[in-house]
Amino acid sequence: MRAKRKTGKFRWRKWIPIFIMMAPGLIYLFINNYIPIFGLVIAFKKLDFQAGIWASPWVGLSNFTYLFKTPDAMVITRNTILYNLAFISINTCLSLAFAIFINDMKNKLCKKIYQSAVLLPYLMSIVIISYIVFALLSPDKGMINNSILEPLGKEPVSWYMEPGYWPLILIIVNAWKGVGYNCLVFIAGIAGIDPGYYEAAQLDGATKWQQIRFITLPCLKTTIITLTLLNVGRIFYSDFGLFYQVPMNSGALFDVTNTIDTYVYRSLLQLGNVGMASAAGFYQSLVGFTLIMICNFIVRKVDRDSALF
Amino acid sequence: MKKRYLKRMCSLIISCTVLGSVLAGCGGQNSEQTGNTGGDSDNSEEPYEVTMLTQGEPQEDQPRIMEKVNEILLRDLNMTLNLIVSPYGSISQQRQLMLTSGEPLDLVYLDAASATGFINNNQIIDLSDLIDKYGTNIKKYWGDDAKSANIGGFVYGVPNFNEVGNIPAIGMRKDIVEKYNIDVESITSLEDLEPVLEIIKENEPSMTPVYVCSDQPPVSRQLSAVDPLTDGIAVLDNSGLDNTTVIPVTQSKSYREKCELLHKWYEAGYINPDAATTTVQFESAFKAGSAFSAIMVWHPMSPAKFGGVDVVYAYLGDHIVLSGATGNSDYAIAANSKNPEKAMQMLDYLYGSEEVAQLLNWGEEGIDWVYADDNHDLVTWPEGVDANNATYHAQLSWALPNQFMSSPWQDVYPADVFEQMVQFNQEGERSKAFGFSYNTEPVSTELAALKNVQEKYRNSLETGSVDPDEYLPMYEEELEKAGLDKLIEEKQKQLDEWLAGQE
Repeated sequence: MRAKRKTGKFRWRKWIPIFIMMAPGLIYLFINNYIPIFGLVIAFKKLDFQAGIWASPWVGLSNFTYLFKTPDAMVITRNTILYNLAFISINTCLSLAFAIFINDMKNKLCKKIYQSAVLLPYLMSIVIISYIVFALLSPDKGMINNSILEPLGKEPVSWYMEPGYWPLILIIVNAWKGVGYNCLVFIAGIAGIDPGYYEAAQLDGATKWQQIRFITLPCLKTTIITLTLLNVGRIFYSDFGLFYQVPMNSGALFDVTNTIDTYVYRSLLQLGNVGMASAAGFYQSLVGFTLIMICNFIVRKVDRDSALF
Repeated sequence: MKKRYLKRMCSLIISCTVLGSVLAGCGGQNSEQTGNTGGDSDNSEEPYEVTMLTQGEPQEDQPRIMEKVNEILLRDLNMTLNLIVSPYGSISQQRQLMLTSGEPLDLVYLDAASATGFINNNQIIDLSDLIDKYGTNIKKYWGDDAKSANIGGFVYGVPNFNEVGNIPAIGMRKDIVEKYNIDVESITSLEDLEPVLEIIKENEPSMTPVYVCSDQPPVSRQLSAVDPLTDGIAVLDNSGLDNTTVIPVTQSKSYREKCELLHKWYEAGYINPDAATTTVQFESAFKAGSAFSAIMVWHPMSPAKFGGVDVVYAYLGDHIVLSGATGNSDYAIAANSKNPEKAMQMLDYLYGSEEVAQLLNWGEEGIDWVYADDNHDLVTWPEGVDANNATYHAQLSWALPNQFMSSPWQDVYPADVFEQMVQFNQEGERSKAFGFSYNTEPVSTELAALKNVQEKYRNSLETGSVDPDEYLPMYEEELEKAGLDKLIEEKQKQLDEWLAGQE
């Protein structure tokens, strides 16, 4: 964002209270997000606690080898990326849909109730959610096996041993959890659209769907692109709770639920090798950074106003 | 003009208040010193304070007990003890934090698995020399095994004086055993158990005959079919009793047999269907009444009740001591300890002091406990005190360096339980690799991948949830792709070197 240059003196006095109020947040951001950046060097060292971070010996790229040499490297990378792509696209579509529905409600009370209800799963701990899923999918006592499959005369499925169903299950659980948050952002965005557009459209005889296509979506374009870009930056990260807790750490499902985060956790839990774990984090953030820069560049070329920076 | 000035003053004051309150909220965390830097010492030296992190339930009256303990310690050692008690759920985090942050810490309670990480990061020190110099009591009790808790020669801890090895056993609900007149003595192996399980399955539909949970895979944990040599991937067959050839766990005959048996039981419905994924522990299952039995280990101090239900044990095998038997609860000395020699002296003293052990375990005589018999062998509650209103009842037991120095509690253990334990520890067949722990550094890359494969297959195989004929070959194939050969080669090399050094 270019700073706005004013002609004449820059009035410091006017902005001092604002800076003071920003100070705690800025200090926190600096301490928590910027100072630890120097810790990236740990990824290239063998950490010796007695010598401290600076004096620990350098080991070059050897901390990274375990991520690529393993036969699982393809599997975990593929899982992480594909799941994230699915999550981004499905969550965005669903939350847009919900936002449009909620916005169209006439009853103010209902609107508020639905807004809170859709946000509630986002606030729940993933451990609780994993047990809710367990209550549904448990092989002998779960609701799906007992109350749905059995009355229909089908065989009960051992959900935690069959990898085939899990991409779908995880996408559903993630959508259920994550839609609320994006939904609220979109509701705020839609509320900001001038109602005059809709009235004019109605006078011209546009259907609901046409109104959405030609008014709502274009006005929300910037918001959608911003949210998507932010999500793309985290494409190599995964929600650890979602991929470790919800499948109940079941070995049979590893091929479809192992992501970079869970892989690193499982490998290093006993080894306790800080250098290797840092290497994994470095790898994820490097890829995320590169992707954001590339995507932002592309977006800037296409539509200047929608780019992040 | 005045209005604008007022507005500016107000906004300035508010912003300063916000800033100030945030900063005030940040500061001011005083760490409490629970120990005493006690009274006067007749030495001209300052008494050294040893900080010790142990596992247990924090007690209300700990300061009172520590005062008494420190009186004794000052008198005998010119040291005081700052005991930090951390509950089971949070001790690993607290330990990690204290070791990483460089807080004053001398003695640390840990086990072999966590020690590996600390050794790699140079956070604990090698105790070999210190044991030689100061470990009189330790050597008295452990003899040649004093340094058995080591990895590649680096002694990471002094083992607590508890059971060495154990007997695989099945713990069954006493009331059900009596109801169906089950002959406990006649059960000497897993196969003998099958008729019993059939009876339970037919007559008690709501009870799982054998309860298995995923974080206690029976073949690795309790049944001691193989000597895991730390990781359970490259192992010694037949518990290492008669051979020293490192093989993949998938090629072990005893491992395969056990998995096949458990699979047969799973198919017959004796094991709970969610065994591979459930994390509900034995205690909860027994308490809820949904389990008849569970595969456990037995030693003279095995609890007689699980989740409030009386349990009887039937032995399923012999007393076996695996290579990592002394690695379950040990005390290490932190690298940031200011005076490791004094820390070792303190540890050695705790090994040999009845008074201090009694104080730490049960509290003060007359206030927290009284002797229950004239021989002073058992202790129990004093008048008016019980489990609900006791202010100090730490029951640190196996977290103490030497709990046998204190007295057993009445009704929980017989009076001579400690003698039984000492006897028990002297028996037991030892794996040829007892005292050997390999250094994981040369194979850490391969180990990362191998661990993932192990996580994938171990629980489903050992809980009987899948067919070993189908899955063991798959397990082996994936292990090989992940670098199994290199691990076996390295481990065999280290084992041979260690064996040669033992001659």
